[in-house]
Amino acid sequence: MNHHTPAQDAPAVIEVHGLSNRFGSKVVHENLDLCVTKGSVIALVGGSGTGKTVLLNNLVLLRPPTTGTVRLLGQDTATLNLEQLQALQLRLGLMFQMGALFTSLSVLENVCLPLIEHTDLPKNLREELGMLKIRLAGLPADAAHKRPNELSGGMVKRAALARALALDPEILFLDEPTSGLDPVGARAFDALVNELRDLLGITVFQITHDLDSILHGVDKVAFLARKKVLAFAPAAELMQSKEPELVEYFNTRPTQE
Amino acid sequence: MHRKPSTAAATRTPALLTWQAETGVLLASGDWDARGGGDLAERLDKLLSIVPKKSHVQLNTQQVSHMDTAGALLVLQVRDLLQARGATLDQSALSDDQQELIELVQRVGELTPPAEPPRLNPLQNIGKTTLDVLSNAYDTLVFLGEVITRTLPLLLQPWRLRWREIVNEIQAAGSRSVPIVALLTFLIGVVIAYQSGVTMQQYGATVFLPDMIGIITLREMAPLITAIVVAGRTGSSYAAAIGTMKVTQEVDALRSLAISPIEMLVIPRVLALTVALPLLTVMAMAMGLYGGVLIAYEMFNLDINVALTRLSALPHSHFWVGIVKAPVFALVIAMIGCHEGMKVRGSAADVGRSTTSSVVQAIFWVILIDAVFAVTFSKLGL
Repeated sequence: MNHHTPAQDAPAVIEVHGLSNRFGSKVVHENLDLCVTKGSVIALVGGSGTGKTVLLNNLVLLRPPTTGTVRLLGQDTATLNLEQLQALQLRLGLMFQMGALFTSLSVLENVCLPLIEHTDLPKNLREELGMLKIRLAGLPADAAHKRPNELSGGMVKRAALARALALDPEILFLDEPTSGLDPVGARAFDALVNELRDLLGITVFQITHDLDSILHGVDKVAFLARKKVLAFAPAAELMQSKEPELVEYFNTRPTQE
Repeated sequence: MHRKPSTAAATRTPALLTWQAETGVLLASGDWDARGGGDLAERLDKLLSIVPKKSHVQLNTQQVSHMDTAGALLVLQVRDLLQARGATLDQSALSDDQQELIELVQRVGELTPPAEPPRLNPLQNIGKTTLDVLSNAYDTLVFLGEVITRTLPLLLQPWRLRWREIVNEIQAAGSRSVPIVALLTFLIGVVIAYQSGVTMQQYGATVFLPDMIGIITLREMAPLITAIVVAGRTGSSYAAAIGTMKVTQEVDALRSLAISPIEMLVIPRVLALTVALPLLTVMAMAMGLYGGVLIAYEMFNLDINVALTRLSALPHSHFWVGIVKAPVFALVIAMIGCHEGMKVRGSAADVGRSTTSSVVQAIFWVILIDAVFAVTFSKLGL
């Protein structure tokens, strides 16, 4: 598999400028900047309570930031009307931490739901497309008719990934995709994400605590601390950093190397 | 059966495919993706029927603005349809990215969804339903047994009861239901007095109005209306609260901490409702009598002293017949609500189903038991 690092001159797909999030008097982010280029795999990292999920919710248009601009795929999200926002949302895929699969639908129905709602593809093509995403996400074909409560934790993650991929998103957001997976499953998931990036040319933005993912599975790491992105560089560089938060984060975790 | 796609799809240029007979080229254009390809996918069969059989067709995708996996699937469908006609599709003019995408789709292999698990035939259905009913009845008995065996020892050692939970539940089920129960029973007292008063007036029998209001309200109306309101309001909330705790694994957490969920969640609610419902019923009786006598006095000019005298001359058994039903209704409502909650397995939809089922079952049993009481009391001559 050709593991190509994205070219430096690739266009930016996520541009965040001067973003702040406040809840009452509590400031979560202040003047945060971030720029992600097309085709890269990014990890968003930070201690508990640094607002990783809040930032992710800003980026996937589930919660507008208090102030600041978020440009996705070249569009300023603050200036878009409802229809344009919806159209933009269809170009983003989001995989929730707990899967958030619809429990009353089978896996295939879960994956096909966005296709039913947002395309006019005939049923056979929809189902083939749904099966394609299920197989791409690494699920066996016979999982298609299972209900979410019949799936193991790892299969729920894969089914959630398949649903996030349903409309071939240009940016794929993953909230702790490997948490709760065994190490072998977690590495396989990383490999899968990288393969999808290579094959479909998508940009991947994931929250993760998995040090192996951070070290080997992603191109760059965005480290959240002091209410902003303190560092944005490949993991190897971050490990050389002398910033106290980074030293603490990387040195208190057992590495397998 | 064509559903309207969302407005967001309107921004796409539909995928097109045109056959150029003179050059043997299929010219593709537009957005060959999930949102642009629907129309083309519907017409593909017809469109390709004009391509001559056993020809060699070149696919030109230079004008395709965007292709995703749905587009790649479409290309493969074009290939398959042509092959079925004995024609071949030359995909060499596709861009590298498009080739890679098609390869990806082909690499995954078989995409037809596996057959859905076969539906049960009628005989199997009967069998399954029977087993379900039996196992449901068994579960209910187990639940009932567990609650009873855990409650009785606690009642003999009342200091071990969870008084704080019980008091909280009495407040939630009792005091907070006061306004709605009071209003409804008052209104029903008014309606009964008014409707029957009109007929009684024709016979000059309005003096018996208080007797009639008293008997109906005390024996039937107050206990029944209160129980039905409480089944809808409190029984459902028990099912929803415990059901949600099952979904979020809170019930399992209690078990893992060696705390019996029956003792923690079910018994306080059952005991609380057994206390609260009779109290509410007494209030409902008072409000019903008040509404009825008010109408007798206001609309039918019955002297208030006469009305009160006639009311107090009623045998006390009417009150006791009514009030004795309330704790029974309370047990039934609370047990059904809690049991439905405990029956939830895993999914959010289950909580909704259980909540609905708890209300339907509770009201059904309340009315059935009321009928049994009515027959029993009349046989006993009470």
